[in-house]
Amino acid sequence: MAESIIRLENISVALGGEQILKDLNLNINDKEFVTLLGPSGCGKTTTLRIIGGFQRQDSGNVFFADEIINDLPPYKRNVNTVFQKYALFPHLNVFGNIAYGLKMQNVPKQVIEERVGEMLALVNLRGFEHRNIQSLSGGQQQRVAIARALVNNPHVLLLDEPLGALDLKLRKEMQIELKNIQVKTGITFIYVTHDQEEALTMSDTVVVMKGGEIQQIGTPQDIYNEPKNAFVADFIGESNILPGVMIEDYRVMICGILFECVDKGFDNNEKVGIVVRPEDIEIKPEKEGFLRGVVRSCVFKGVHYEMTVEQINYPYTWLVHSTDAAQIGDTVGMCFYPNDIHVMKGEDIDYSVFSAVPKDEAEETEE
Amino acid sequence: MKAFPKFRLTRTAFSYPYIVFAIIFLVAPLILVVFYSFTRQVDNYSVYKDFENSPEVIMDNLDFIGYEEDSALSGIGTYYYNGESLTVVNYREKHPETYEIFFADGKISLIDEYEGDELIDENLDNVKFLNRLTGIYFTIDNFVRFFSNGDSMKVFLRSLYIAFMSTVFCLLIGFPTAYVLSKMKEKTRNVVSVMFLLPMWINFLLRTYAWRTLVEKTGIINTILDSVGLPAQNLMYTRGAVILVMVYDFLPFMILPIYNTLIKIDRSVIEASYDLGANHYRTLFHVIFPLAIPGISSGVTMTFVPAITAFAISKIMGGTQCATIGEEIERVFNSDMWFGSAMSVIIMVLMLASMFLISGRNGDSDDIGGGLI
Repeated sequence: MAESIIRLENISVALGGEQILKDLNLNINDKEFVTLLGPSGCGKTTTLRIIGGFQRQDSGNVFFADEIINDLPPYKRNVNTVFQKYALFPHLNVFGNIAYGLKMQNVPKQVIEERVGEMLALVNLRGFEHRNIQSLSGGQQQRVAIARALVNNPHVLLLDEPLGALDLKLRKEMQIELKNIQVKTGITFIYVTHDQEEALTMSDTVVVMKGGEIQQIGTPQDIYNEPKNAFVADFIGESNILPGVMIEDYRVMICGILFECVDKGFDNNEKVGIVVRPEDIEIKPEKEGFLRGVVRSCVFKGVHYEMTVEQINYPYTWLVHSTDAAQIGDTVGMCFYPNDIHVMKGEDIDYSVFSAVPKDEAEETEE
Repeated sequence: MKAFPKFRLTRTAFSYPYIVFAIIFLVAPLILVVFYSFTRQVDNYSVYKDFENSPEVIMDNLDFIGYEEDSALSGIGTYYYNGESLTVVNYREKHPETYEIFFADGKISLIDEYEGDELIDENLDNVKFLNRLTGIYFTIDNFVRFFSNGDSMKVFLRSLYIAFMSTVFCLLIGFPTAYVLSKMKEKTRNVVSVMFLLPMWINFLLRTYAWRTLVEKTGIINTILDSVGLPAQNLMYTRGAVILVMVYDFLPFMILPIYNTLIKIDRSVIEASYDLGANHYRTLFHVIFPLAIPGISSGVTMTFVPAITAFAISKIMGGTQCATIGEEIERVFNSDMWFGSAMSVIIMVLMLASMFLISGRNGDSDDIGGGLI
């Protein structure tokens, strides 16, 4: 296991009487791409600002390579930030912006020119040295912001929703580019976003946050396939979440039907939450499925059809992604495999906000 | 029949009153002043020996005694000089202001060239020219006079010095004040900015007189010094006193525009500077100061321009030794509005040039904005 570079210990912050972070503990390993993921107001940006030194925590400690850096001002931390709206210096040109950090360290002029050249090459902006910041497009400004932070060779790069202002295509390009830069430079990236797809695409580790608390830490695969709770399941991708009862290890009761599953370690007859991803559900003729339902809507989404299926005899509406379309009003069968059933501890799940209601309401909770 | 274009109440129509206002109160006076500065009216009739070649005045200040209505405009008429009457007719069409007069037996008579029985050539020695300098004519004498006149130049340079020093002190005090103000919490900030604006509600003459009672020979400061046993200071009627009151009067005009630009600076830009390893001082110098330049330049303009033309402050605080160009213009204008106009045009050109220089420097950082308004 790689060694820890940044550790947050029992961090609590309140801003304007509102508790932003609650007793947060987080360990970030060296050379990793870590993403803090969560809806707006979950405290992810505050966490980043604490690491950057722009926000003082009310209690708790920040460790940098096992040294407490609580009182270290931002300009003494070996950490650089790419700000949400780039925060480029409007009075300096591209060269001036990138060279700023080196100039502050009194690096000789020749070295500055060399390093800036390298950085411009890294972010594909060769020949832009003397361009005005205002004359650049959003994507180019973004690259300058990244180059400006990276030129100082920081141990850790903090990125605060850096792609938020870019259009979808550019964002996807930049995601790949950022990941490449991270691999190439070997710098630890701490990336803040509310876009779950972005998080899954780029990260080595994803930290899902909500209401100032960490919900789950894991690899993108873990987070997606084994969500620890209903919030994570719902926030990461689309899910059908419904209550079930764990009869015994590997056996779970959903909608009155006993399913085999791959989960264990629950009490017998424990109430649990069940997550089934919409793409894991297969639509079958009525008789062949475990569960039956009536197709209520069917929308073409490009790769697949998105269908809502109202289950017969139960108040659940299932979200199904299938490559085959079904006729609205048809009664169909649904089935899924044991390893598609994800079981979570589910005592306090509020099911009403998930699959039992139309999808658009569930989406609102994401934002 | 072609109808008149209909008047429509569009948004542009709302600007018409202002355009009319601007023409009446801004453009017209400006044209007048420029016109005056390049002209001169002389009521004075002088007799020159040879007007074109040597403008030597033989007779000056002829009194006009009578004329016929038509001839009044061209200067033809009867004049009176040293008890003798003198009649003038038009001599040359080329120089309508120049007339030939002829002395004969001590009497001044005239010769009309076109009816010329009495030939000029025969009596060349007796030929004189009357230059009628009445009316308004074009000249750059007013400007030449300003730059060749040592006294005007001295006053001008003194004004420049006083205005420059006031601006420098305003900037030295104003920038840190604006900076501190911009860093305050909103509530305190509002209270403090009202404190800075409060003196502006009092008539500025009153404020200036208040300063006078402070620094006078028998004023409050000297009274205090006296009671402590220190020697009285002669503060009144010095350049220092003028600069002091100017700084006091114009400081809000420096603070406000700078403050306005400072609060508009994106907080994250400053954080970016810290993030990149710049401490507070270097951030101030490398980021905040350059970004505040639009505010600084409008603050400098709003201090320098009124400071160079101010005359009340220097009159009250500086007396005659510290007369500024504004005072000088005021004084000159009463007796010689042509020269006074030329002086004000010179100041105006100077100010426009300096404003142009200042605004040209930061032409491309418009988006940060600034200014008082």
